[in-house]
Amino acid sequence: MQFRHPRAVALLLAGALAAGQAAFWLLPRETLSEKEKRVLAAAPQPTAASLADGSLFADIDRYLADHFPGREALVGLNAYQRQAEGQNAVGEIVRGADGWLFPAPVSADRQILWDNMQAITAFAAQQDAPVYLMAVPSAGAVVSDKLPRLHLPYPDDTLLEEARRLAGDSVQWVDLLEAFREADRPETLYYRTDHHWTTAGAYRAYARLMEEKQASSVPQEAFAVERAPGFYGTSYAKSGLWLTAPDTLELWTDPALQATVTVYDANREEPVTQQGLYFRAYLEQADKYPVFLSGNHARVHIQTNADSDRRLLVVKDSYAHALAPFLAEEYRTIDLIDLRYFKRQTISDWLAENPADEILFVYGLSSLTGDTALQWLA
Amino acid sequence: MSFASLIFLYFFLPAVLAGYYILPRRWRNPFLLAANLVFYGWGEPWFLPVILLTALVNWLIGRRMAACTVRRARRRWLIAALALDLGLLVAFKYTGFVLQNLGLEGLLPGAIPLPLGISFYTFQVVSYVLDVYRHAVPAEDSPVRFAAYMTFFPQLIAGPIVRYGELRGQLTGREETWNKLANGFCLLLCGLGKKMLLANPMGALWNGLRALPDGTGVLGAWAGAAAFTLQIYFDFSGYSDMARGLGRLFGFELPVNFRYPYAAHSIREFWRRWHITLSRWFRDYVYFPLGGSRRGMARTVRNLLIVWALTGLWHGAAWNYVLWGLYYFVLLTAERLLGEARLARLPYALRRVLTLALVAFGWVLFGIEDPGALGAYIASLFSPAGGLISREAAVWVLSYLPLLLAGAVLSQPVSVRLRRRWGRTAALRWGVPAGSLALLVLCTAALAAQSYNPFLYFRF
Repeated sequence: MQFRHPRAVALLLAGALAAGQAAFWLLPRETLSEKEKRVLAAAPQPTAASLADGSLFADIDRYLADHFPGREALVGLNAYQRQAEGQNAVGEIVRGADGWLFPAPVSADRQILWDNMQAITAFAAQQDAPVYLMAVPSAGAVVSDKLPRLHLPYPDDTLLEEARRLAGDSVQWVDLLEAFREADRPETLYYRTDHHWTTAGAYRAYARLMEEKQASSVPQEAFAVERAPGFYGTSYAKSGLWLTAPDTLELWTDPALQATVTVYDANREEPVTQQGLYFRAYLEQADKYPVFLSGNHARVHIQTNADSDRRLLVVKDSYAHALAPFLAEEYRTIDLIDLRYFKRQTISDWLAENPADEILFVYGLSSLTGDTALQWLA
Repeated sequence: MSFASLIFLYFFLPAVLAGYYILPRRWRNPFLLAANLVFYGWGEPWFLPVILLTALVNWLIGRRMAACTVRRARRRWLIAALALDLGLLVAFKYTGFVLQNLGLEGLLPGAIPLPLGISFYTFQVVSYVLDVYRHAVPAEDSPVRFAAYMTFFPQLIAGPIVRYGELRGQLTGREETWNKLANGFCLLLCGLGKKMLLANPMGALWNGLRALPDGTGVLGAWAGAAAFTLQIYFDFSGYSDMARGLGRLFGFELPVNFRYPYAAHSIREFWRRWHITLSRWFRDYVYFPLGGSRRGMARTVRNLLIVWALTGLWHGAAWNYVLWGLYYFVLLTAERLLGEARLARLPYALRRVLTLALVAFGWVLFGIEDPGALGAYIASLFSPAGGLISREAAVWVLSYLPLLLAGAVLSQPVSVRLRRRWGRTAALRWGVPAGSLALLVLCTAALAAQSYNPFLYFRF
């Protein structure tokens, strides 16, 4: 077409491209994205090898995408554009009502679930101590009235039923799905912007465990509740929907309970020890979730003044972090082991040196159906 | 380097434009050649020798042919050039396929890498040596100009397939104007928008539907076919728009490759509107030399069979592409046998719908390489066993319904009508640049948010 002011049009569009590049060179570089909760790509290193296998070019592309000026705003724009186009139910995050960001349904592929259940039951069959398994349903299966009307089915019912069947007699199954659905306000049991259960959700799971053990649990009223607003979780980070309101973290403390927490990591010589179950320094940081047991570690050891001399081993993923303060009410000694990081010995070997009176598996259903680290059990 | 990447849009392109316009005219072609090589070598530098060798040999042979008056000697040069060009294409693209079909795939240590754009630039140099041989164009004297033509980065990797004769005058005497620049940017961003905002989501829908473990149902399967039909159109025509837009930024006018193919009312017309420069190539360098349609029905059908088997194979070294080519052979032969007059008796709307459905079915053949998966998908298109639409498929289709409808509308010549009606108003004069800028922002957002999005036609 014939423009009346072709020069203005050409300079405007060329200027936009040039300005994008200029901003890239002039603006300071971030090393991590607080909103996306991840370390941004490092500057590519040109070497003969990276040039030869072409990885240099891929690294440059990744670096540019991660450090492009206004990246967070652009990611947000893209996310809201996709929402406007109607794609709220087919991404990694399903956007529901009232600011709910649900992780998409777990894959219905059962192979990893079968392998994991096989590993757990084979392990449990060799133990004298009772073994409990707590498989945490996903938020979408529990808080279903906040899901968008149009969404892919959450297969938690069938997958959990399958897991329970596979667990057989050697493992005591702690059913959470029914208990969660029957709760007065199921939406208080999960975060809106994170895949984890809330402290209230963890408390309910603890109560279910005690029920399963036919023991009494500490009543809810015994805990003092401290609220920390402004928590943005993993679903928020993945969604790009930056205008979503944050969650509030709750720290439940029993004033009578004293606990010492020691954190062991494979790549750290000296373990870290602190008094008290919450790592409050994290409340000041962008990623607040590590307030529970300071995040993911190979092993966390908890010593309490609980009125019991029993010792508990928890094999778990991060769902157990919010549960630990309640378990601390019941056991003098607790070890929490995360098989994704605990690689020096198998659990069986570790148990031979550190016998436990009870063993509890705590896993989100997404880990049971997707994480292969459980193969390190025996 | 892909057009749909931040490094191309914000780094390579501004740098090349600045260098190009700063330099005096006589340095512009050599500068373009250098830019072409950087563009081509970015990502896979080890194929640079292949393309440079192809350019050099074809340039030399062109000169030899031009200098030679003996017909037989010219013919020998021609055969040498064709043997080299087509030999390289066959060696890189079809060796694995041939050996696999002979049951000899063990002879190869691994997959042979395909040099980027080899199918396109090979056809371009073949057209050059044939045209020089036929005295249709003079041979190019300057190796730099020849290499700049053969490796011209806007159309190097996925067309349009430009003949030397079309660019010859532009290589020496083109004029860069502000209006060409403005149009070039707008066309570039329009093509980018087609790719990022329509083709990619349609591809996500197509892949999402195909991955459903329990199938899609009949309606879901046709929605998947529609999604792929739109994906491949917006992907490829978007690329061609970008190529033409980029050409204009440097003062070149490249041929049109797509003219609203989904507005066709017959298969024959579809192929006059789809990938026009490829159809033209096969017509001029295969179909006509074989005798075209002038030697009776039997010869015509034979020629069509050859052309369409080759067209299928050109698109990929797998049987589904051959099947897809033969599918069009059957359809075009049937149209020819029925005759245009008889077809014209059908209502126009019916012809449109029928053509689109046949084309969409064709894309299913094209889109699924694995024979088992292809068979299953075709079954789901026609068998009521899977129900009308599965719940999962319904979620996918409804989530993308606004884009499916937008794509369906935009694949029709509505913008032509709009331009005719509003083209002279201020609203459109400012709407086009403002819209281009908005497209740039949205596409940049999509590029920053996702990391990997190759063009479909890069595979060929």
